[in-house]
Amino acid sequence: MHLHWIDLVIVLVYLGGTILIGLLARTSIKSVADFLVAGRTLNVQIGVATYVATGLGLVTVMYFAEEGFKNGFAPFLVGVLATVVFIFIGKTGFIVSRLRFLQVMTVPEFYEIKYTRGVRLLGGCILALAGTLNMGLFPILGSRFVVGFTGLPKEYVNYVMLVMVAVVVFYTLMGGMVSVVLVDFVQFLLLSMGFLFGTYAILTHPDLGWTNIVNGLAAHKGAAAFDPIANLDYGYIFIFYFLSVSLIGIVWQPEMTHVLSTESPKVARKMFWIQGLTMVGRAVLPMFWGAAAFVWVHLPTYGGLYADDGRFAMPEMISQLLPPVVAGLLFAGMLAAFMSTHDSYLLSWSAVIVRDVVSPIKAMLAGSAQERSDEGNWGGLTGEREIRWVRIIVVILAAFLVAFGTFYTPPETSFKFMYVTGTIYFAGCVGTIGLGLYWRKANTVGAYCALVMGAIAPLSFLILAEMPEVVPHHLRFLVENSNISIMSSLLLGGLGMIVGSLLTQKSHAPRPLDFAEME
Amino acid sequence: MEAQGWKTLWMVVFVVASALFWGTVLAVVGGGLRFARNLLGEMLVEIGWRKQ
Repeated sequence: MHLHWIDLVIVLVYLGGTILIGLLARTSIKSVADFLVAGRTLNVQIGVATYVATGLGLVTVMYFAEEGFKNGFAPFLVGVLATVVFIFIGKTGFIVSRLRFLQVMTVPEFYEIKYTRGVRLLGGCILALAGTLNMGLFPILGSRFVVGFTGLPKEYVNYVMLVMVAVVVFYTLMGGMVSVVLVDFVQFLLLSMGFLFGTYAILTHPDLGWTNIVNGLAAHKGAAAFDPIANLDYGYIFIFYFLSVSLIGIVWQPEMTHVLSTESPKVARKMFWIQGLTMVGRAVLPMFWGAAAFVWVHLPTYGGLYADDGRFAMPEMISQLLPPVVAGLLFAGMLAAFMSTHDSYLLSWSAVIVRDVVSPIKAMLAGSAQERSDEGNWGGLTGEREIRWVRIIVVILAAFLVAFGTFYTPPETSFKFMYVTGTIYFAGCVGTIGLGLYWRKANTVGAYCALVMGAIAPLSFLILAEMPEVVPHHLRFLVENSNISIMSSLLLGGLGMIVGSLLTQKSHAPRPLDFAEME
Repeated sequence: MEAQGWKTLWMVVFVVASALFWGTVLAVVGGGLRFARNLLGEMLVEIGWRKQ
């Protein structure tokens, strides 16, 4: 074990506090809106903290570090692009203001307002599939950090994952979004301090430091470690895709939940652009740690276990650079980061499955009217039953995640896997939400076309990458690198809505939306 | 761009990213702590550990 006993005490105190918060938060849950969007009470500061905490999970730190380990500083571009897009969205209110104004609790709920219950059901199914797959690697990545950081044998990775998921499930079930917000805030503070100490330790270490890291990367990787255009993992297609997907990616339910939990559309906009300022740091700092870990394992003095494994090398390096207490604080912060991402995601995907799949099916079977009640429901399950169903789905999803993390290996890096799976949903949203909110002619047929056409390319990539031998040799490039399939799916999602809507304007008249009273 | 140009650009990005990240953290800590304190206070009242 690399950890001092004081560090273990810090971690145990933190875990105990988390469970206590979950128990306390249970008392403040009085409605489904309390459970899923914290009663829509978040102000700017707590909104920014909780949004950043969800976006800055241990998973994010691990997959950005893996990118840095593999590609050096070239992926820094990802952070720069995301920041530019987020500030643009925050300043213009693109999508976020209108969705918050419509008072939806999940993104597919918008489909029932703008289109039909059937579109909501299909959209909910696709979102749930994309979200669950996307989250599939989260627990195993978090567990690898713990194993690398503590120095436990690699064989323990699945057991550690099981324990961590069990703790998250417990307090998410207890307090819903209220406990998520509180735990997110604690994580935000701990991880921000951990980032500071970790980065300082790397920059001041005699064998590392900025100059040594740059020289080490140049010696082992050449220009590809710095030039994202020359680096085959990136290039112009990926840059264009990333800009586009960042614009539409704000409709990702776990992040959007925080926007929908704010006091008003104005607060949502402000929260968005302030947290956007942190995006470049959230990407660049862990990538820098990963690049430093690459140089660390190539030092002649390196005697660790993970010379070729970027997934374990970064936590191993950090645990050895930091002194006791500071290491414990960072470890607790990382555990908090693990939990704060999982709680938000588990809650979000469970909410989507219940509100946008189970509840619409029940409403269809009952033949109830397609209108929203005062409680925020649409004729399916009651609020109380929705909360019960959400809790059941949280447990089922957690069991799936443990199994998926144990048996699945992604075709590319974890970072690329996240974007391919997310695009199954994002691509359809280009049409259904992007055009649905801003183009008067968007209609139901267009929405069906957008959802189906958008999901085809990334799903095909994931399936065919598992059996490339069935792909003709001259098309093999399509399953060896995901850039083309994910970029084309965004275009197909938008095209599906435009063509589908224009061809059926008379038979399926678009429903108008009124934003005249929006702040 | 030459390799040296990229190296300089990434150093600037690293410095700006760090400043923006920790600057934002400092800016929102106070308001976040007040919100969390109020919420915890309400919960303690709810379970009877504290009077209204």
